Amino acid sequence: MLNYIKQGSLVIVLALLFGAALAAVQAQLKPLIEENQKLETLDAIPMLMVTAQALPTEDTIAKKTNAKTMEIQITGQSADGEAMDFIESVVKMDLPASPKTKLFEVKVREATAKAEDAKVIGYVIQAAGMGFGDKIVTLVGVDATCQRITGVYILDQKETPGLGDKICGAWAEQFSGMVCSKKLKVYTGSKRSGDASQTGAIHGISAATISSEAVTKIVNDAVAEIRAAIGPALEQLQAARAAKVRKDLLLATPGATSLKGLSSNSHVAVDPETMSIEVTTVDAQGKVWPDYTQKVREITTPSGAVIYEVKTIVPAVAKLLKMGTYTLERLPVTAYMIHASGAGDNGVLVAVESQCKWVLGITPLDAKTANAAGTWVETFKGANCKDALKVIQPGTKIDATSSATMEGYVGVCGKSDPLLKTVTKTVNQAVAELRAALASIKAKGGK
Amino acid sequence: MPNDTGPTPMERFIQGILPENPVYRQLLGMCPVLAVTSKVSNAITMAAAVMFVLVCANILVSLIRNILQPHLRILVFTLTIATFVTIADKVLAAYLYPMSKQLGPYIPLIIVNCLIICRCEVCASKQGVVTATFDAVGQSLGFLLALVSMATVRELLAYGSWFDIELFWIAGTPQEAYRWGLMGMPPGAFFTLGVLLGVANWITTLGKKKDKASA
Repeated sequence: MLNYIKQGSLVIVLALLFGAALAAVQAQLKPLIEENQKLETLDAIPMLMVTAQALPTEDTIAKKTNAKTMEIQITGQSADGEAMDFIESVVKMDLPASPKTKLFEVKVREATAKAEDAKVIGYVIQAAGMGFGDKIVTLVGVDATCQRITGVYILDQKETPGLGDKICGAWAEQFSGMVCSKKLKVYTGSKRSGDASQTGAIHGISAATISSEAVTKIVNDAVAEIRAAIGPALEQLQAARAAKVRKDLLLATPGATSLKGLSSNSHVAVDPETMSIEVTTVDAQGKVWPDYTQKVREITTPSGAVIYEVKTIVPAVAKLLKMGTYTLERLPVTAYMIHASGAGDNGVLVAVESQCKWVLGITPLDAKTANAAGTWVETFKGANCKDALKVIQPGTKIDATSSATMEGYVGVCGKSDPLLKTVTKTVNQAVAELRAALASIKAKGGK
Repeated sequence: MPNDTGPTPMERFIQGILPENPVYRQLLGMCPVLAVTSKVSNAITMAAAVMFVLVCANILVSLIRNILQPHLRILVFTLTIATFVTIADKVLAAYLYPMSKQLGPYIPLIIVNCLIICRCEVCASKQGVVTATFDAVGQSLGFLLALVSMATVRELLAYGSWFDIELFWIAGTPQEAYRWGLMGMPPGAFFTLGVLLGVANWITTLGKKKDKASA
């Protein structure tokens, strides 16, 4: 026994010495190595978020990456020559269910703004899967609502050089903009049809189908994982957004449902709970005069569409209502409204009178579109919508006994605006939907 | 030193570079020769890592050669090499991260590079520190020479560049036009190694014929 120890003493001493040396090296270099890995992830993030946050042009862009604070400052000029200076900060998210998952929340703010003002633009997950040669490690980015993929970046791969390693190049860019709800699928040849971002069709790389399919599968799994991780939070967000849209809708109702619109002294107060709107006027002396109250009722038609019925109660009628002579049901309908998406970020509120013969008014629900729209929004008021609305052109001839509004023309003659065309199209669709909805309600009521 | 009866340090140094070139003459360390010679930059990093490990291992083994138990020597060699390889791997990951990622598992695989254990066995465990150091440097330079020669041929043919400098690129031509992708892949490594080995042997035979003619 003693002999063995004597013989092995050198090995034992060396092992101890080497062990200590390695521990020292590891302690010294670990932070550096971790910083390298973090920097690599951080460097890829602006490209991953490019559809959520536009980047400066390639020849002006400058990035400053800080691995300690996990921030990337990006400066440069936009394509229009405007100076851009913003900070993307990355926060590692802890998932109690799967602590090993590397999920990051990406926030952006102007360089001069405070950190609290940063808004979430998306999420990035590190996802890996088996490729043709070895494991492929990717970063997959999705937008803040997990609606669309914002980018895919290959962190590590050992695919065949010259064939499979093409997944690293421009090929991965086609993932940007794909809808998350659709499972992506690789197509080879020319079997694709329609908008790829909607159908989820991915071009395969010739002679590297396995690599292409591997990346596509990783992306599909990654998106599912992100959804599972942040789904509950997103649902809350969507509920909050729906509540906000409902409030915006109520606020826009008086303007859309009265032909003369609101005066600048009018004040609109809404109660989203009871779906009621109170319009008051403040006179020069600061006295408040009640104008009218509106009650909105949400109706889901048999076909599944959602429309809104608006009834207006003027003070005199309100008195009668309180006396019990009238019930709300017996009041005539002022307008039917529908929330049409397709123009602007939040869509457009379209109101027609109760017979759906003419448009009472339209209001874009987000401030940006409303500001961009300008005065031609007013020309929708009273427009004859028996046929589809048309944009008025300089050469348009109108019968002397009629008017542009009666003929169903909208827009200001001589002023063309691409937004007007989009909005007109959206309104036409909305009116058709409303008419179909009303017809289906009438048919059901008749039975 | 009493038992230092091998070749002198200078002889060891010269021999390592060409006459006993680890790759072309001894056919040692074939794994990195085939795996990381697709680009000159990879080859140089690999050779530098091998040099670090070989020099350190040789010096250490030479220092402890008198207290070494003969039947435990392989164990001690492996232990020593493994330690220095791990250090090299960590240093690369900390200071040359992109390179470390490109070389991937081949840096940790230096542990099983026969070249190092062979030098420990042949030279360091028998001769003094100075000779062992010269031997390690000479052999590493020979290894570097072999890797760079392989990588030069492969990178030129596969990517049209040398040390990542584009050599044949003419504005407007597609990059694929002058790229022989196969040379960047494993088969290219085997082709290149075969041809270069043949060339090395041919040169040696020429030298021997001259010796015979002069004799």
